[in-house]
Amino acid sequence: MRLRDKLLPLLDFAPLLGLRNGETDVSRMTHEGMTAVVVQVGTKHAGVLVDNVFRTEEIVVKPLSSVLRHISMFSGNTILGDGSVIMIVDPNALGTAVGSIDTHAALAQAVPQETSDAEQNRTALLLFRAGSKTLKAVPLSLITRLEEIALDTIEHCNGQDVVQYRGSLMPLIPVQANRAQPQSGFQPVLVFTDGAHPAGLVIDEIVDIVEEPLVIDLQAEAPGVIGAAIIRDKAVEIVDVSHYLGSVFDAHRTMPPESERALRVLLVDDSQFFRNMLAPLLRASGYEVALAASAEEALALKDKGERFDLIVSDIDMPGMDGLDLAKNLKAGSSWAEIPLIALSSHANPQLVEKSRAAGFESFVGKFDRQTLMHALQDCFKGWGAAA
Amino acid sequence: MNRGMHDGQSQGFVTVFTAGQLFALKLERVRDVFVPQALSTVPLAPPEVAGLLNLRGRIVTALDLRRRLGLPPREDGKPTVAVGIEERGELYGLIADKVGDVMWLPASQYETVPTNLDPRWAQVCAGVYRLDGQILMVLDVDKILDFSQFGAAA
Repeated sequence: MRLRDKLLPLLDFAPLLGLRNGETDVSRMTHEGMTAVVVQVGTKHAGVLVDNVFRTEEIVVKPLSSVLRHISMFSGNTILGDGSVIMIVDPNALGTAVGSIDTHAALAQAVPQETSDAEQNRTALLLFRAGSKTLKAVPLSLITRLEEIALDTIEHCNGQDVVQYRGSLMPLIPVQANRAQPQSGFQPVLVFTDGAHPAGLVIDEIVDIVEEPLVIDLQAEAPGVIGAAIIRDKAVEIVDVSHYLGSVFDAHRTMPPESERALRVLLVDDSQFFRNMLAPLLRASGYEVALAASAEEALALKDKGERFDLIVSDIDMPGMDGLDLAKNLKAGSSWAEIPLIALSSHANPQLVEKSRAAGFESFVGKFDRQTLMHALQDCFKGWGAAA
Repeated sequence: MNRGMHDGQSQGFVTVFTAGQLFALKLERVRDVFVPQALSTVPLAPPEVAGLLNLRGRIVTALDLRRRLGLPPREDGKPTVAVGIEERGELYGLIADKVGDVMWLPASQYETVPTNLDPRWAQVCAGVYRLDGQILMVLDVDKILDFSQFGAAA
């Protein structure tokens, strides 16, 4: 099968399970179409032919009974939300099955070096539609879960739609207000969480998950949109999640005590996208945020005598990079005492080590919002104790 | 029945019917008796494994007693009952056709496995009782759960 310009080996799942023994029904495949679940095992991708996809569910894998442990196809089992017991397929077993048919794997392995650099700058984006035909996108890493919620379980409470979700009420916020809602069926929802509090963004349909270099071409005027980008030759709106869910999350937030002045954070990042994405989040968490588009701009702020309680800086920037900025600041400048948090989209151990050596207190993946918030809190805790 | 006979000299058994035969399991090995529902079949599993089910939040491996004993398969749709057994922290359900009485039987009447018993049964039989008109076969739970023998009975 061909998927996004790559040949994808297809596995027929039923015979692997000892079901429907015999040849893959190719005529059925070409005439009626079938569903393939694309799996990645190590560097290998494969499509696994299935009859039906039901839904996603988060589970706790329980060990198999010892009488079943010899079956390598399964890694465990669990009880689903509806009380039924389900087997969990071991992706490694699928990988083994792929290995036996994938003769091109060796060729593909031969040229990884050329692409790896571009690969690293890619961002996984979830493409979806909501309210209009225009494709919208959200960085996948911001999303906690994709859910399909049965419409008849949606309740109206407190002036908003809510659904009982894992023992608490999850507000559902539509991207398009006042949308006509069908009465039955399933509603795709993107679940975001802030600490323990989930909120669901109601959309029309999930289109795809892509991994592409993300360049914002147009800055947006409209609220709720960060900007527009070209993804796979199509214009895509990058959605500002905090616009929709900020109010929900703010309601839960425990603000820093009123008596204290707001803590000042300097965010240094050459990417307008990240500045636009992170600044509202930081502000929503009660920090006062200043922005710098480069290390040089940050140093200029220092020379002007600005003071901050914490600096969050991107590592990869044109001109002076984050590492040099940190070394510069730590080398006896007036900002030498300010804790630094490093941001980077490539979190490899060498880079983490380098950033530590340069003077960063902690290192956070660019889209890892939760860790960033924790890192900020940790820094301030230490800072508060020292003060 | 016969609760009055419960003393040092008698032993308790849970009895079940499967394919017209009466089998007994030692009472102290039986955790509960329940009606198996929503059985999930497990592909690639030995034929004795009927599937998995959820019993009050725990996963139970259901074993078909007919398959285990090499008896003819049950007709589809016939009601079943399961005897719950815990073994090394895992729950198993032995699926039979019908549950019988709990019996207290005197240890003095317990007989060893008859030599002329079908070897497939002799393997899992702990002993027998001669009751009025029929033989009660006491199943050895440890041998029933001896997975190395699975796949052989079919």
